[in-house]
Amino acid sequence: MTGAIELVSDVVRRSAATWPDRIAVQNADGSVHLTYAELWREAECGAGVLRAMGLGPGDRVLLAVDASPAWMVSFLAIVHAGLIVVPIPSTTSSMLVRLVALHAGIRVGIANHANRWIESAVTGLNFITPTDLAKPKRAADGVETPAIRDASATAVLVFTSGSTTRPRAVALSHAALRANLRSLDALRSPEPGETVLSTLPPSHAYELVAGQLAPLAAGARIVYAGALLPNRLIDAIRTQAVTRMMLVPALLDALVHEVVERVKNDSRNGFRESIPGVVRTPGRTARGLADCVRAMSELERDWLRKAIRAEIGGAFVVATLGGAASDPAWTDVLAAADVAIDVGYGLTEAGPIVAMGRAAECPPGSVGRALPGVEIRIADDDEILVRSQAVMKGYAGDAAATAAALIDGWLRTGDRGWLDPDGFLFIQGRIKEAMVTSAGETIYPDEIEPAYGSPLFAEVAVVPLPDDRGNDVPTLIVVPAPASGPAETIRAEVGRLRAAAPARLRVNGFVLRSELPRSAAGKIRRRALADELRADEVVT
Amino acid sequence: MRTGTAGSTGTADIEAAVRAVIQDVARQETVGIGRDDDLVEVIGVDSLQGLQVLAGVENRFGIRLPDDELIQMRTIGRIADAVRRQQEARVS
Repeated sequence: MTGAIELVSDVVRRSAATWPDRIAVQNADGSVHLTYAELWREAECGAGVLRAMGLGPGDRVLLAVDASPAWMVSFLAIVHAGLIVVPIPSTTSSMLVRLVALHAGIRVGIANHANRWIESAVTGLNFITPTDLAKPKRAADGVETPAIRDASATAVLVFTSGSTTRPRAVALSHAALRANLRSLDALRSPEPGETVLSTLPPSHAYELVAGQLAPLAAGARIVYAGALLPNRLIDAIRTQAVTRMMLVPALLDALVHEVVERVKNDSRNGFRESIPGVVRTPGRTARGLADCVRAMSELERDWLRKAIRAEIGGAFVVATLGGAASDPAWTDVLAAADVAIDVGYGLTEAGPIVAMGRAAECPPGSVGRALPGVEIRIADDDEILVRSQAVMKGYAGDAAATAAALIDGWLRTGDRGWLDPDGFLFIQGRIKEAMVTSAGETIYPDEIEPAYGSPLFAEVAVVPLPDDRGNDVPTLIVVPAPASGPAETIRAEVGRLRAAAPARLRVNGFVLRSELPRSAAGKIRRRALADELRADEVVT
Repeated sequence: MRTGTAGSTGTADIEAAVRAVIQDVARQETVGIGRDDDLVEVIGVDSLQGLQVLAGVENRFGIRLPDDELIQMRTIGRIADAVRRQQEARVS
């Protein structure tokens, strides 16, 4: 990357000049595909349309388009026009959309026609679809717009899934996003001609930078998966000759089991009786599968590799895991198919990627080393601190939260960890109360607790119980009300409330306590509760 | 390559097969689940398990469910109806 590139969109402008005729973005079913030249031309046209609507530098545009070529065109159009993108998942609830639009001062929203309801959810919103971006009102609208030339300007406002009462908008500048792309490029990025399967929402900073912008900077092709049915993903990996994908551990788990089922059922694999044990009676866990693979003979392993490759094709080489802690045993499982795993660590506020590494080259459980250009420091209380040019400018409209998060140029991550003597980072848990489930979803205790109010309970608290991979399983602590009856009554009440709660607010089980530990200020000490919680006392 | 069932199948058979897929993915009995019960509400199928159920159904019947209806396929009845429609579309 050269100093001449100013805006994050210029990364794609450069690729369009270098590889104009390569496919840049497409849908997995082949329905839409754009070359780099076409992608950039459409982005320029869209930027012109947005400017013609009277939008200028600093204005914010809501982006709620499904992950698709149209998403990327819209994203590039907004940033190239010098405007600020506020990307949200296209499945966001109307309440959250309203909250985000209000907080960010949104004037214009781009969404698929199917999400037209956004128009009525947000008062005064000027609603357009990606198709409108391709229709300049005057011929001149399509030409280059006077984009901002200050790379320290905000390019993206990413709303983190904070507590629903108080969403936080992380402001990332053009310069910050480019800094993270430079860091990734220095360590590892796709080669021109590679194909990346996109399964995560591009509204998340992790997918936006590592899964979208990095491949486009490198001249690779992005294939948008669409619906994440494991069978369709495996078909897409084979038919599109996908070389790498980023995914959350829970999806990897589902994909591995889809492949195992296929290998079992594929008549081409013939000699069923001699199918190795790993395939005949697959363990349900990564560790179980890894043990089976290890116990196989060289001949059996060779058979398995060929059988897996018949399903996933010959191109796939790297799976990048993120969003949640993963079992190190996956490295051995995927090695059976000659697929490497990249691990990493990041957070939106850090711009987002902090550390990354090839799992086989890292000590087990590590998330790799700091990216080039990124400094990691461990504070006295074990909190991980990060400093780099990619770190956020702050939380938009929340100076207090910004001041608490950024101290002397160091970002407080809220995560606890340690560095080994070789600089490998290990994550131990979170200092802040947010829980991260195995699906990579962030959820806060104060989101869940209101769903478990009952006259039978004096008070309740939700704390994380770590599962065997270090992800959080939300668990309810119940202090029964006086004369609330036998334990079975409490159990039935928890069961009733659990069934009535939305799926994401469901606790896994509960334990009884006679009181909740509190700080001097009266705040529940959830950390102390979590520390003394034992898995075997949880009633499920 | 997939082991799909050729031709169309009776509604009861389709529902039974859908139940078998759900049981396999969610590892829960489906006997007490009604045709129109919301799987997310009744047995707490999470979104990824829901996708695995639909993948299992596509594999079992050798069909592709319509993309724009996937999000509504949260009951045994809706899934079975979609399977039957896909089978009929293929036969005719």
